[in-house]
Amino acid sequence: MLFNSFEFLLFFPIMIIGFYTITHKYRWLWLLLGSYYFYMAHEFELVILLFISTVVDYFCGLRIPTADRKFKKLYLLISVFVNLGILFSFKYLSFFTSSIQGLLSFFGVVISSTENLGSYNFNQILIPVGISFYTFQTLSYTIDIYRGKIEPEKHFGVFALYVSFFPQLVAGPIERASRLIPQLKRKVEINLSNIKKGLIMMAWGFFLKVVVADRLGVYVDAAFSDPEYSHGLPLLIGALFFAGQIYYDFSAYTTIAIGAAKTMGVDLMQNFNRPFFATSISDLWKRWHISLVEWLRDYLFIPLGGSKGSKLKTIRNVFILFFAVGLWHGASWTFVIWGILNGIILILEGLTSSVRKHIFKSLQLNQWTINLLARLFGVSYLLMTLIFFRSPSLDHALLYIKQMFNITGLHVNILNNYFELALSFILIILVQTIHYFKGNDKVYELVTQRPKYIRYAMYTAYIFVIVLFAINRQNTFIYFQF
Amino acid sequence: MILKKFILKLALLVIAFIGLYCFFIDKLSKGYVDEYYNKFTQEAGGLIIGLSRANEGISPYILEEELKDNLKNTKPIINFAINEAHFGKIYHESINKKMLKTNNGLFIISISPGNFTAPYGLDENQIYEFDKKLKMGKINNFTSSPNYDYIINNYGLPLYNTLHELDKWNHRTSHNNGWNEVILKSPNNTITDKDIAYWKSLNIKFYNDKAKHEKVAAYRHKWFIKTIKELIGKGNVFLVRMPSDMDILKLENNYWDEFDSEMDSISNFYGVPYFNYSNKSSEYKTYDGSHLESESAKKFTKQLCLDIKDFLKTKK
Repeated sequence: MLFNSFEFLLFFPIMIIGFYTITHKYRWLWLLLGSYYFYMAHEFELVILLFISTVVDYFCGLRIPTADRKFKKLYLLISVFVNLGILFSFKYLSFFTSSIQGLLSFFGVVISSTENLGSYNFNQILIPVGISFYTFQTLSYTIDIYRGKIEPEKHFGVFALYVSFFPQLVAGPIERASRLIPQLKRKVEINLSNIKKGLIMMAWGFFLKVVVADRLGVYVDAAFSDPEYSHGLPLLIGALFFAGQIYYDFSAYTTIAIGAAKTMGVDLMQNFNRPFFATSISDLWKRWHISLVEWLRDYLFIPLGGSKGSKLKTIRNVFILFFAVGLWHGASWTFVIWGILNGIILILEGLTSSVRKHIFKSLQLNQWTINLLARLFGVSYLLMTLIFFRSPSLDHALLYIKQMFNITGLHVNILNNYFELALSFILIILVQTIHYFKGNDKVYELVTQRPKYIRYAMYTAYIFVIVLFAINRQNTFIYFQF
Repeated sequence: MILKKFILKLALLVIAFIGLYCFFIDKLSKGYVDEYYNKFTQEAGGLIIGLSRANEGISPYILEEELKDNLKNTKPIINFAINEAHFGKIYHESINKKMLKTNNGLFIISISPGNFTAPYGLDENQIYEFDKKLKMGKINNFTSSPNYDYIINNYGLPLYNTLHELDKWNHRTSHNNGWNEVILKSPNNTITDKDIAYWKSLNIKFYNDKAKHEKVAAYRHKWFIKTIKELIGKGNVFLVRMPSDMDILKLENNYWDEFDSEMDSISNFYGVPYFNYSNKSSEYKTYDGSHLESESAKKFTKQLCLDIKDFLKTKK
């Protein structure tokens, strides 16, 4: 089920009314049934994978603390094997087989999948929605138990709810059990202030999605559809708009998720912290998809040695970390290259830190100018790397970049609609201005702290804006594919 | 008490939102929705089925007029061809929902290799799901006027566009019977040979790209046959391959060189005539290499009517 669908408009109030009507003892059951329905409304059959992942991790989690050392590891390995196995089979198998075939054909060995791997076409495998999110979430649970950081959850229903909690099930934030499970078990009384805050956040998220991100997406689709026939400014605007689209789209989902959870007294973690205001690439990655970066930091980067070893080892670890970030996003070389490019710039940023400080000092630049330059560089670099993220192939991305720098005129509009183009820029400026003062997680303060008549005017204006300016396409959220 | 007040306020907001949305949807339904909307607003006694070539190249007015003495109770004939309507379960069901109950209908099925393709790597279910995301797959209502189902699910522009006159392409007229007529000379512009050559080059690129990403799907073939079988019970069925630019036809024939012979076999097997006009393409003019402009569309439809009349005479 999409957040931006009519079904959700019915589903959500029913969930909330049911949640506050049912006694605390059975609320987990209500939310669990609702969460499974939410998932099955989108993908009926593939809910079995969610269930398998839940059952395996529940039993492994229970066994780990009481087992002896050898078996502790075995249970952890079972959990890792099952979760990554599901993820690999459904998301990466086609990519790996085609990559191996490509590599072999490079050496002159031609293998067709139908000859060597049975008659099954791996490209036919559907990627289950949210698989990368819930497998990572449930993996962190068993790893944390293995590390002795948390106790296993004995109540199967509550654990199943932790894995499938509908607001964040399909596109995060990737929550840790230590944060989410206690909140799911906590008795929640009706708190109007929290409900209002949650609803305002949801409303803001809908605005970001249907008015801003989807609008930018129309131009982005046109720009990326055929870079061979465009060049210069339209492609530059297309790349800029895609950076906006992906941020507003994903942060919209997260904001709706956080808002929806808040109405039920659950605080989900922040996933974005105004990334376009980052003053460096490393700062940007502390603000962008925070729950994934923290997950990979805790369960991959630090176990590899983090930044504690030699410089070379740190470089290797950063490289592996961003290779994983790229691969997590999609089974395609374009995502891997995007991740690697981010890793490379982070490594270069670390290596040149003292040199840059020296240059800035010798040029006598003040901090404000340095930050401005850093922001411009950060956003430009993000924009360039995201071309790989959006393109269907490496050739397409390289062609896009080549054509983008082929500026021969001031023709900017590939949609022949100057009003929409101007509106897109105005919306970006508007949202960034709001973000300058408040992040998505605190945006409700812009409403709740106003006098009553201004609040009502804001609500009325909001209704008109959504009805008149929403892009009426019920587009899925971009991060649903991951 | 506070809670009740809060719920009341919230309900008012939701009602205001729904009310405003309905108001603009209704306002939209009274004006121009899009070039396909008229195909979905009435029941049909006869249908023109196919992709964009048929959408622009076959006029229901001429069919109704020229065949009025030969075929009874086929009115209204609706041009139900649309650029994304490939053969499949979705199109098949849409045709059924569109038709009046009749056993004397007229069905012109425009065919070309393009009707039978689907993206590589998709199985039958996935092609069905793919079709479901297109215009016909999103709606259940094909005959109401106004058709809110179509507007809510298929109108792709923001609703503020209902507040002003839409800047349409003034070479195209969307008729009430679903025909999208394209004229070369509009009141303030003319499509030149240079324009035609440029659009043709884009179309050739489009067809080449399509050939790279799509293949002829058994699923489409299966539903094509099912559709023919079903329509035979509802009236007279004619398979038609429309004229187009020779360069584009050459591309199609390279892509599926046995196309005409396969269609001939199907035609013979099911006893439905196959009129192949691809070899008469030089007699007609397209505005983009693929689609007939108005005069050629009319000329072509008249020729089609003559051939249908001849066939019906022979049949008798």
